[in-house]
Amino acid sequence: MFHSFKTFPRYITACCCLFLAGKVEETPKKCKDIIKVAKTLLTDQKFSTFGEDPKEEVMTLERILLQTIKFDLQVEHPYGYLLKYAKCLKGERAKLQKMVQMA
Amino acid sequence: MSQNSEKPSSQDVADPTGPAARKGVLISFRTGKTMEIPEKDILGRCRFVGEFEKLNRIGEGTYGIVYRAKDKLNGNIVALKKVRMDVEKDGLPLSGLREIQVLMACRHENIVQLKEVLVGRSLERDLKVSNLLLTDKGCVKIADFGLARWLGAPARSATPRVVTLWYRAPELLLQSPKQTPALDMWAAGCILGELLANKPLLPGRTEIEQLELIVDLLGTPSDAIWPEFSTLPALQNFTLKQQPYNNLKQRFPWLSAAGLRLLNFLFMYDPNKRATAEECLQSSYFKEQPLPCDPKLMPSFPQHRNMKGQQKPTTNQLNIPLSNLNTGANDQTNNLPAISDLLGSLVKKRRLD
Repeated sequence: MFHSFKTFPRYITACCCLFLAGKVEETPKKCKDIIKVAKTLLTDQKFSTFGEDPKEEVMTLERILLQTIKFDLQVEHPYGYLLKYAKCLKGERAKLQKMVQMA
Repeated sequence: MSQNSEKPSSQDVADPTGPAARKGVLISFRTGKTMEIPEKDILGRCRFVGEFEKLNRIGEGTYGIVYRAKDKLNGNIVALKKVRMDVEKDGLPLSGLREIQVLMACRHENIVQLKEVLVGRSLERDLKVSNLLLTDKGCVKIADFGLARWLGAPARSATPRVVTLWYRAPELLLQSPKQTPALDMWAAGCILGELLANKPLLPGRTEIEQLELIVDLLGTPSDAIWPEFSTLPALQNFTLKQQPYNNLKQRFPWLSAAGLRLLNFLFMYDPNKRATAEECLQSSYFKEQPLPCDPKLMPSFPQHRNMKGQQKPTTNQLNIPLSNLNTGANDQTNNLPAISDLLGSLVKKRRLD
C-alpha cells in the first residue's frame, strides 16, 4: 500500500488499471471508451471525481501507477494453477467448471 | 503465503515520488510466523533518470532515442531509451510496454539487458543487423524488443507487417495469418547471409521487390515444397514469377557444403520445415574449421562514440567463433533461448586475423 485512495480517487484508479491491463494483455482499449463506460456505470457524484478532463486524469495516473509498480507487469496469475488443479480433480465437468468460476 | 499489508490510515498523504514508507508483513504458510516482505518483492519507485549521466546518442528509432549513459551509482554503462510520447494519444505506447515486459523476463548473455536486463517463447519480429550490437568484448547483444511479443501456446494471429523488409520471411510477405518463431529464423538466415557477404542479402525496397529478390535467390516456391503456399492470402491477387533455380551456391561460391546446408535450412519456404534455432546450433557448420572462437578471442575494438552500426564486422572471411555453442546447445532442450545463442554463434564464426 503506497498511495491513499484519498489522494488518488478509486474510480479513476480503477479505470487506469483497466486501461493499462488492456495494453499489457495485448487487448488495448481506448482511454475514452473506458471513461465512457465508467460514466454510464457510476453515479454523477462519483463520476465528478474524474474532474474537468477525465482522459488527462487517467493518463497522468498511468504514469504514477507504472512507477508505483516499477513497470513490473509480469504478474503470475493464480488462474493457470487453478485450471491445472481442477483438471486433476475427478468429477462432473459442469460442477468443476462452476467451482473454477467461483474461485 | 498470504499478504497482509497494513491499510493506509486515512491521514496518509502519499507522495507519489517518495519511497515506500510502509512495510507489509507476510505470514509464512510453512512456519506460521510473520516475516518481512523480501526487498526484491517490495514495490517501490523507479530510479530517477538523473541518476544516469547521458554520454552520447547511439541511435534513434520510430519509438524513441537511445543514449549511451553511465549509472552514476556504480559506473556501469547502460543504454537509456527515451520513449517518444508526443505523438501518443493513448498514454505509454504498447510497444514500449511490451519491450519492458520482455526485457524484464529475459536474461541471456546475447541479449541487451534492461539495465543489463532469454527469449523463451517470444517472437522477436524485428531481428536485423542494426539491432544486433557487438560489445567490445565480442558478445553479441540483441536489442530492440519493441516489436517482440509473447507467443501464446496456440499461435494466435498477430499483426502482419512486422519485421524490417530485408529480413522479412516469405510467409509474412504473402500475408500468412500465423506468425511462428520460424520468422525469426528466416531473419537469422538473412543475417548469416549479410555477415558472409558483408552486405545485405535481400535489400528489397518494396514488398513486391522483396519477394522477387527471394524468388531470384531461392527459386519459386510451390505447393510441393510448401503445402500452404497456394492458399496464402496475397497469392489470390497475383502470381510470382517463375524462376526454377536455387542460386545460393552461386551467391556464396566460397561457402562450405555445411554452410550452404545451414543457409538452405534457414531459407526453407515452408515455416514448418524451416530450421529451428536448436537445429542450427547442431549444424556441422559450427563444428568445422574455422571453429567458432571463444568470445574472449573475438576482435575487440575501441569504443566508438557517436557511431552507429558498430556491429558490422569488417573481414570478409568467415570464421571463427563460438565456443559456448557446444555447451549452449545441450542445455537448450527444455528452454528455448536458442535464437540468441544462434545469433551469437553466427557472429562469432568470423575470422579474426
